[in-house]
Amino acid sequence: MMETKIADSRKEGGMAPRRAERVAHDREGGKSRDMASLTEIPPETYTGAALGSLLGPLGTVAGGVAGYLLAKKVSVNVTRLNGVGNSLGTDIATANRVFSQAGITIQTAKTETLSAADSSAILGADNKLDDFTSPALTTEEQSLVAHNRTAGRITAYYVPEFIHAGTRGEAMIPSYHGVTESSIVISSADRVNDTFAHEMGHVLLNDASHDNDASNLMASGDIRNFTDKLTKGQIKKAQGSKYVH
Amino acid sequence: MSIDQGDMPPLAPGATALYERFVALMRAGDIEGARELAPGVVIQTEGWPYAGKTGPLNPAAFQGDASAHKLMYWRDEGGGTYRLRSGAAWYTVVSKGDEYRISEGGLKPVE
Repeated sequence: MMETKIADSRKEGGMAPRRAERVAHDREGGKSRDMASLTEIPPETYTGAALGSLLGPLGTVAGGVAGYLLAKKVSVNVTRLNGVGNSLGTDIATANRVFSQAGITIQTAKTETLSAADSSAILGADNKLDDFTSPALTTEEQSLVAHNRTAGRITAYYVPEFIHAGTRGEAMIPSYHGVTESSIVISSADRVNDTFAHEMGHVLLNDASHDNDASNLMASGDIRNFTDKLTKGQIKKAQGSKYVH
Repeated sequence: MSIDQGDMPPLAPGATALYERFVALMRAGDIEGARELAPGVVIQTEGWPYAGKTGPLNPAAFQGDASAHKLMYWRDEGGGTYRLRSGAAWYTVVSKGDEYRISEGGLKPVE
């Protein structure tokens, strides 16, 4: 079995997704991020600290704490299937950079990694997620999204790849799928740096459609240029999401 | 439309040609011609609630920016079967003797 990827000339100077991701990673200073990076200080803490610093050293600390406590937050459960790569730290960092435009911080909550047996029970022998082709979830997706649920919280799932070759990620949301709680699924093999943020955008906006502006976070992956802007309307809608507290 | 193969191994020429013909027919609104290349695949021609979303193939989805239908990925599943993906849609292409046909397909953004 051979998988082949074609460079898209409109994406990162014509590079294939994985190549584009490596460049984006290099642009961030080439730092390797892993689960430990989830403890990184979110941007609103810096803002609060900067304001607090006007009152002296204690003000800096108090401002930082106040900034963190007052920020709008989204908590995400995370389930990684057996054998997937660990891009969670990078994905959360990118999402936080993007959603700082809306004053929203994404943070992980309950995380788990499924055993080989549990993963195989979901994906079957092909080790690929049978992804939806209509609003109805597939049997494999229904099995997947039953894991790691908390009422009122999004769960993100990392799978090895999708059965439809090259699919980077997908979101299951009430407005399109009729589900009660939202989920996102990321292909470990095919994701790019802002796939997690893009899928979170579908959830926070509760909207399955795509933006025609290549600089917008919600542009489709075939045109999106990693600028990842949010419009004022998108910011307002995201801030009003039931998942933002 | 041309397919940029870069330095990747080539897709079977017959499958490439089939895909390009199918997209051209859909862009031209030749649904009967497209159905000959994709027998049994649902091609919806009335109503289109799926703009930018997931759903059945529809000629309306092929009328905009052609780059959305540029081939981005493929995977050789063996036995003359390929899974193809553009930015806007997915396909399964199978060999039928000397020819290829689309056996499955639908609109679904790459993410």
